[in-house]
Amino acid sequence: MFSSTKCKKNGCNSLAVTDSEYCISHINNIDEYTDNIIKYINSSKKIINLNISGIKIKNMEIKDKKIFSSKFSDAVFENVDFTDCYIRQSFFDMSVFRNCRFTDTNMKFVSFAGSVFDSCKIGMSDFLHTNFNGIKSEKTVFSESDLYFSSFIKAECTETLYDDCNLRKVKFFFTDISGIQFRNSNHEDAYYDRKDRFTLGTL
Amino acid sequence: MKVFTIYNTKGYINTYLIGPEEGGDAIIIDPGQTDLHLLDLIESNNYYLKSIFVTHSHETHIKGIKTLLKIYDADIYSKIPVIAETETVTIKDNDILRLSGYEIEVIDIPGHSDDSLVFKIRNLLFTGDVLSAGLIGSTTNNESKKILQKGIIKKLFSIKDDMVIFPGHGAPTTLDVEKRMNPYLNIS
Repeated sequence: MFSSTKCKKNGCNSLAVTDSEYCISHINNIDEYTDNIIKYINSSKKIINLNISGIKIKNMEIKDKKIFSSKFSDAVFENVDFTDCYIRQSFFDMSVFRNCRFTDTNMKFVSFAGSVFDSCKIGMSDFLHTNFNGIKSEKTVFSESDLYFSSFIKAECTETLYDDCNLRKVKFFFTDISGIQFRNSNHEDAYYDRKDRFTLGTL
Repeated sequence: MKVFTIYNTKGYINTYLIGPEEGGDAIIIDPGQTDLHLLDLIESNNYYLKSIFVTHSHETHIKGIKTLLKIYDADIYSKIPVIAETETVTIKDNDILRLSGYEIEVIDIPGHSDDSLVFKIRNLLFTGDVLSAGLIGSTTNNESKKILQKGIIKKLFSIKDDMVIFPGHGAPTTLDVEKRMNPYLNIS
């Protein structure tokens, strides 16, 4: 797993990012740090135990990488291409994705909870056991994806497509699904609101 | 430290294997089933299973124990004294165990079951059926639900550190996310 070392700044409860004693908010030269991280990502085929929470990355190809046990929480990704990535047990929660691509990706045990997806293409991928709770998605395409056992609890989706998806055991509790299109998906195998009856034991 | 999540199709539960980067003694949390995939992970990482932690004794979370004990000489840690017909090392709230190089803090949060425990290792919380992404554990009555909600808010939400949650079912999450948006724990 990524390091559990806390940021050295007094009173800060965040984790220190990889190769620093501080979290991204308290790091000295953020531009230099970001440049070094981008170089590292570009040169690595396999990324393990990386924590770069809070980073801002623009116009980058993170294609065909294997990412394990890493943390990208509270980050901003603009025009970033994750095509063909294989991602396991990693955290992209509370992040912002603008014009990003996640096509042909394979993810399992990944969290995007609380993230914002704006004009992203996320389709033709496997998102197994993926946490999309509380996401806000607009003009985003999840189509042709396997979303087995993933959850969209309290998600707000506008102009979002889930065409031809596997929705078995996908949870849409407290979800605003008014802007969702489910054409050719097995939406009958997904779970929807039934008030408080839905709890772990029944899943 | 390496953490592996193993999904069991029987009971849809997550088993966690925790061990050092370079091999050595390992811990398993909730062995719902023992199959070749789990054994291969243990062996290919040069691990020896020393401890089995049980978040609660529902069958789907413990079904793999008997097979594991045929292979490894491991201790079982649980709130109750017997699991899978085997005597356990009983543990209770606030216990801190030092095993296999890790400090494991025990947090007792009943409600889903009387013996429900959460394990805190570094910045990771293994919550079993107490808390998972956007959900809380099932309960048989409203009183138990209130006990569970109160336990989560008092004992987990009071943790200020940046914590990752590995639940007994479904995708991982973070403590921060659950504080902000778990609809069953709306504290605002």
